[in-house]
Amino acid sequence: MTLSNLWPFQRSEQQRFDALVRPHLQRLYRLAYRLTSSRYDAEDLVQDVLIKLYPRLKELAAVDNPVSWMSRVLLNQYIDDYRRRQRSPLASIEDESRFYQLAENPRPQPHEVAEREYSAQRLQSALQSLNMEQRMVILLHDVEGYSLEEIRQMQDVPLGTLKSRLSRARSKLQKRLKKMEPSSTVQREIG
Amino acid sequence: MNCTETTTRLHQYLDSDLADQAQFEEHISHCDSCQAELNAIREWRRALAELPVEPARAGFEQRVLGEVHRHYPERHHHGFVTGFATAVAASLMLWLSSLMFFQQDISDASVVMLTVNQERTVRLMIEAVGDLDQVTLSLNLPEHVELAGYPGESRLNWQTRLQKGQNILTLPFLAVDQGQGEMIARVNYGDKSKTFRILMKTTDDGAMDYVIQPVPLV
Repeated sequence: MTLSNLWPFQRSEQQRFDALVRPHLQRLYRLAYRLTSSRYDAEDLVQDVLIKLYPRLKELAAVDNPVSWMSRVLLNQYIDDYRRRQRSPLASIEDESRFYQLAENPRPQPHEVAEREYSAQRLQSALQSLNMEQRMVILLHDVEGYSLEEIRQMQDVPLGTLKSRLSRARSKLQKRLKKMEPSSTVQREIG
Repeated sequence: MNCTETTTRLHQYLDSDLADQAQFEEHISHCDSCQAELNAIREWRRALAELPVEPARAGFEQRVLGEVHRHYPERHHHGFVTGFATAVAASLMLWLSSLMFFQQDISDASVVMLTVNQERTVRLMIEAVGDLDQVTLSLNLPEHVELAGYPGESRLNWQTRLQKGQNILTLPFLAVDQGQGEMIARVNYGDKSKTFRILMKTTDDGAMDYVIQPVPLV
């Protein structure tokens, strides 16, 4: 009787983990990119999340919607990283100076003079003016299209809090975008 | 509705979340400045939703998963048998003699009690008349049964080789729910095929029985 290697493909833990997370990596990357605005930082963030999730493979395999859970872990990881960076005075100085440089010298292109135009660069700069909570809710809701209920589940934050954050974020964003407009833009007529 | 009231409702309107939408639209229809403000907000919200995402660098998936593997190196097993060492309860030898040519010999029906959420090792014996390369084994599992290590997968296939004589296939089954259904095991070699059907059912107390049904040569 031969106990042959008829079973060469018993999946290792690594293979099981890979099979579970691989279908969702691009979606996680997209979310990470929205938060970090950098390919490198987004990749690092996804990697950190996977390293955190690996020991919880059994739990991950048991949930109905693993991408929702992974997204939640990613958001929390981003928040932790962000707060850690904020505690470093050097990092916050760099962020602020980058914003003001862009806001005060928007260098409008000729075709932007006569009408408002919201370039990606201008929008990204304006987004940086928001605090982390405001930026996250507007990125998740207005950019990525998650409903407030979905965001509530991802972040475990009350719906009312999210609504007011979104409202304040939009208001602040609007003001920043107006401030960044070239001075020769259309004058508003008060009717 | 006046301009002040209208401008505080611009985003709600775009969210289709406005109770007094008729009054809002009535004001907008004859107020150029509020209309301009609405258009501006609509425009930057549209631009926001269209913000591009730089694609991940080439090899992203391989790279991040590779880092996870380096972080958690695989433990070495001494063959798959060691992997089943922790399986609870006894294994059952099922004599499913499968000869690719000429002979067929199916064992008598046997019953094994398996418990929901508890692994049970089942060994299938396949007998070959000669060494056979590139044999494909496939399993179709009933809904309430999984193979340990393959959560959620109901169809599994492997390429292997059979040695002349008896070959043992060890399968760690796991009943994830009560139920009844057939597991279909198929052995393919070239244009020849052999199918075995094993009825698996969970008893009232959550244990799972399985019974081998003899089937004709396919």
